[in-house]
Amino acid sequence: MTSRKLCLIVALFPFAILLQAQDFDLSLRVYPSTWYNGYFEPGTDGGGLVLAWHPKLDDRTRFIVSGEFGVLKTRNECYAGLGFTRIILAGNHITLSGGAGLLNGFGLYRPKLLYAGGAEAYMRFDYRIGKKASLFALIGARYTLCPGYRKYGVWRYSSWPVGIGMEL
Amino acid sequence: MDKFGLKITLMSRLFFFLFPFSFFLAACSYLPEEQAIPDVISIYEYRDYIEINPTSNRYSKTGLVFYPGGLVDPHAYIEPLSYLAIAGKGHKVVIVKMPGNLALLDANRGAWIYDDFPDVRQWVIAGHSLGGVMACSTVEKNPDYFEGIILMASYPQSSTDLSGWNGSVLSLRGQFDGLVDSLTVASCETRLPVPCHINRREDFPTDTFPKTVYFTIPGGNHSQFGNYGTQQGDGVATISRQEQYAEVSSLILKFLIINKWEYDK
Repeated sequence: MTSRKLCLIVALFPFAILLQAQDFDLSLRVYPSTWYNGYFEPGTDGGGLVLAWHPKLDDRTRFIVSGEFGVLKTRNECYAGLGFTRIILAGNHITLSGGAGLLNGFGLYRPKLLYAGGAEAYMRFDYRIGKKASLFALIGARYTLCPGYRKYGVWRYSSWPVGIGMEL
Repeated sequence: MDKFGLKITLMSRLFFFLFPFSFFLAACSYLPEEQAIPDVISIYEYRDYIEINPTSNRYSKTGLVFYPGGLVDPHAYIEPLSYLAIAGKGHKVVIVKMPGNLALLDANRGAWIYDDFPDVRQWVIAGHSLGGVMACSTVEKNPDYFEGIILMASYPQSSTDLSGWNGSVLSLRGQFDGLVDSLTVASCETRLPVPCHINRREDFPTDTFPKTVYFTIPGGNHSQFGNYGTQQGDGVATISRQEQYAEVSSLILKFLIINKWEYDK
């Protein structure tokens, strides 16, 4: 097998999983912010890529398990998230829901990873484009911290995440 | 599900868990080690940069904007750059924070520095390793914004051509740098202003405009331009970290004086 074919298969694996799986979504988020470490200063903290699995608990409520890779000003970080969303309004093609979750993970540093955690709440607007697929946009509030980084620099961020994504 | 299908499913699941793990490991940044920061400097921490001033608040009108090396925490450069902050007439030093500690992701970030520091008349841009690569890129895009470039174990990337740039460059490299070899630096000479190699500090040219002065720090290595331990693959330095900081800051000071950028606020 040529290395190019191997690379292609490797690159397609995650998509293959998404296609087999149900109730997955992938979103890209940016984190505009007004406050960090106790200081008011509008700016952008960074962004993140979030892969979430959300099985239905009932007709209106879904449980969320997510994984996030984030890029901030002084670090890369990864989070595992647990939360829920609840449908507030539902139409033929559109759905408005609200959600909240807790984040636990790591600031990616060496020689040791530093614990990072936080919480977020958001409103999500879905537009259905197929039987199961939908495009969505979200906006919310988020607070994250990395206590081990306190002795170096900015360790607390509060931001207003804005994101777009696709659900399969 | 047949055996082949089961294998594919298992492999894909395994990949699903291992790929992020290896990716996360590769995305880890070096944290700073314990620092001995002189108490005659003031450090201000902002979301986008770290500002270092002499505590007296008296400094030369030439400031230094600095891009950290790839995947190195910007705080790892506070101690080495504090030597420069208090050298000569004193200098304002601004260490730019890069997204994910990769200057590659925001190469033009140093160009907005004018707006935030109106009391600094002119700027020299410096960078370590990947930071130096992107500093060259910033100058190529904004040739009038900076008077000089200081490269620490670095060189311009192949798409950057500063050979016609009307400024001065100081290129420093540790003798035992295990990550940036002298041949790579030499191969990039054509993309910088006229080369001028010196072996001793005393041989520093009296006029560096527009030239690239190359100097190899005896006994130095790649990691000791910052304070983050020894980077994987680097050589072993035969001088201490503090000796390398002192050597680097005295060479930079000489570079500023020779170019007549060292004057009072």
